[in-house]
Amino acid sequence: MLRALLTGGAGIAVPGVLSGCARRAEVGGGIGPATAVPGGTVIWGKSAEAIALDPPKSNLGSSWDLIQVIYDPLVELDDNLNVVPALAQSWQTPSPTEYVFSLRPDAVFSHGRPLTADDVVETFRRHLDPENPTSFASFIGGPSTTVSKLDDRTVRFRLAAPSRTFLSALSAASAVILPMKEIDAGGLDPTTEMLGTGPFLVQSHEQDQRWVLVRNPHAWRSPAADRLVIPIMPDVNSRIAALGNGSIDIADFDQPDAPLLLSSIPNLAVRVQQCTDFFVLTLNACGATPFADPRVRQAIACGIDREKIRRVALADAGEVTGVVSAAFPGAIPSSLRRDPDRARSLLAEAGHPNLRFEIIYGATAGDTVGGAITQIIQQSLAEIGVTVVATQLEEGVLNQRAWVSVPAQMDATVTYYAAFGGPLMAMRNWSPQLAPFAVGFQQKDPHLTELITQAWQAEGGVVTEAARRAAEAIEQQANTIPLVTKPVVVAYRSDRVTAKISGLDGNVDPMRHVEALSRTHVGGR
Amino acid sequence: MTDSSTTGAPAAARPARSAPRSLRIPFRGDPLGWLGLLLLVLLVGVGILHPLLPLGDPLASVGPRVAGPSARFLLGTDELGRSLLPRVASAIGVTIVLSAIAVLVATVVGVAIGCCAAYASRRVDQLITRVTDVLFSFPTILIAVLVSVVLGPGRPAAIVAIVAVTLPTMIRVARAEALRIVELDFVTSAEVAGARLGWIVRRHLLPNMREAVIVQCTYSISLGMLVEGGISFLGLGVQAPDTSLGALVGAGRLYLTVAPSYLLIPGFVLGLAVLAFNLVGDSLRAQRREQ
Repeated sequence: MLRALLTGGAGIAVPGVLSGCARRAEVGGGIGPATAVPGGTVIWGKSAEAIALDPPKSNLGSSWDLIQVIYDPLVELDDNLNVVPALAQSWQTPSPTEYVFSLRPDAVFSHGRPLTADDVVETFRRHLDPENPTSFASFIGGPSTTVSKLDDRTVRFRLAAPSRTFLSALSAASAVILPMKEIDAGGLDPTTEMLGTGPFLVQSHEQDQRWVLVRNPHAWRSPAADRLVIPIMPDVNSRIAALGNGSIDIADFDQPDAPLLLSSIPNLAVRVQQCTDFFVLTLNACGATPFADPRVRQAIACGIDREKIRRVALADAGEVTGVVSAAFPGAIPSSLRRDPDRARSLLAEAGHPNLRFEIIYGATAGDTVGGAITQIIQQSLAEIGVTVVATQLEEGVLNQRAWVSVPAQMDATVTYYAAFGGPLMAMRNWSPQLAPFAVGFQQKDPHLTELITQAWQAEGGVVTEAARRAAEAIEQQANTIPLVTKPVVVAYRSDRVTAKISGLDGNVDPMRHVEALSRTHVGGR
Repeated sequence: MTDSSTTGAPAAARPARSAPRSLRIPFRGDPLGWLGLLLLVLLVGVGILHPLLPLGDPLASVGPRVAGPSARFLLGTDELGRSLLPRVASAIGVTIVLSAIAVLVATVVGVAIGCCAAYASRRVDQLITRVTDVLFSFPTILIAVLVSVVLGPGRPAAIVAIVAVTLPTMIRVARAEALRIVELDFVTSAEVAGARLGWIVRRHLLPNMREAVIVQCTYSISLGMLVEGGISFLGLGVQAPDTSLGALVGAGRLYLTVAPSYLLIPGFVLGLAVLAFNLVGDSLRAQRREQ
């Protein structure tokens, strides 16, 4: 499981007037129906710089959205999170542990070389390297999974055991297909260069300033726009102002208040996109800490008012969730219920009736959600006699203390987990054996890992008995407490561009239909 | 042993004692000074006594989110539905108290170093002067942010940041005053009479530096409030759920277009507090010049 950080990046890029004159000319005058016009430039105000460009090793949501514009995965998710073909035009499952993918014949990298089965095989060998598997590898069965080429257009995966996460995982940004021939030959460094089969290719990049993408002439899914300019704009107010004055056409926001903040801008289409990602409170149960005692963790879980978090911190935009994100149709409801009396009793029993601990959270420019959730937790836990000290930290410091140090140098943190396109994928985060990033704060529990593995292997719908058992065990363990889903707001100038925005996203990809972005002609003449 | 208070030295100190007498009736004929003092008393009173006033709980989510001023919530509410009236009152106290504590520390340290510079060898004096020059060469907010990042966000970091920013000026003022005073006849007389350094500092230097230092304190507090506002605006100062005027301005910035009062009121109050301290400082300085 990959962890999506609360985005990073620094510097405020004032959106330029890159194509302002051209766009004004394109919009034209007159009153009439809006129609999409092929070609032209669309400007996307991106909230954070993409700094982890090598897909298999990228664990930043702020990089995934850009990666998914440049590269393609074998499969992707539709608007209902069903797995549909992408680079693989079809697939067969001869047995529960075997998948055979047929590649599109028209898939060509942006420099003109056709995609081959070798690219797919070598891409996944990077993930499944027994010496150094990627963090993503456990979603597709780990190093015991083999991938082989049957012919130039056919690839076979063999898993050691059935996996309910396998297909969904292949749609993630980490699973996009790389031009391995060039990478293996040393002609391309995927950590600094991007070359894929996606709708756009990179024309230029100024760190922390902007990306300029142009249409990939070889794309099997050609975009409507000729250019996609992406100024990096971490500041929320800058993005709002830029949408207002037309210097950007489309932008995404983590702030649940974005619809309110954007309400005064005319000709703006605002979409609240539900995401499978969800906020969590992670308690550090490793080392000499009160949270090593499961009673203390359960008390915290019982003390938090998650409905109030949804209502106040998320402005009613998200949903209270369990281990299986509530955004998934048919998700397993959370078994956690607010019970202050039980919380007080558990704390007294554990000998911590007046517990005091610190929650650290990120200080991303303009991001208020982590702080708001932390303050609601403060209020809730104060009612059971627990004092929470909230500390906002710079992202680098937070990452070091929470995710890099072993044991983690923190009591607790509020962050969010990416749940991707498979309902059970996020479960991995509760097992340090399956999710190495969690080793600093998550207690090792072989029984829980076994339950998660069983849930992944069980046949059936979302709510299998095995999945339910795993979800309940995870919530009882309460090492990391699921809180609420994390919606994203996407807004675009409806008088300047046409856009297709998915109502439900599973891969931190607000621009999933980027190929449909196009300039708009308004008028009937 | 001879008690130095019975030597000629105390006689030389007498003129110094009369100097602060004018401060006993402050701001004579200076309405702006009175206005500043009035504002100061009002703001400090609200800031410190707000828990006793019927303003409401600054930490409780009791209303709708991001609402404008209304009969129920006079200054509106924030993004968590907390009434801004008690939060602004609490923020005034936090901002002023943090600045005052920091300036007190800076004053004690600055005066001590200033006196040392005046009395120590030329080399030590030059060293102190150069160090303060170096500190002056950095932008104020850069020093404050650096301190906050190194120490971690919170009140202690805010205090140290304000000390770091206000200390160089305080050292300069103290040193200049000390250098002026040590050249005066009554200090020379005391030295000739064999008075010890500690006695001279206590009886001559400090009383005669007092006015200049007090004036500088008022300016330092206003600068300190701006520094605290700056680092809290950036999220490096006072941490949630506590708040300060800078933190409120920072939080309200997001809602400028939909609830301008969220940003404007704390910003206005911060400006008012800075103005109050500056008016008092200006008035004290004018009095000092008249003397």
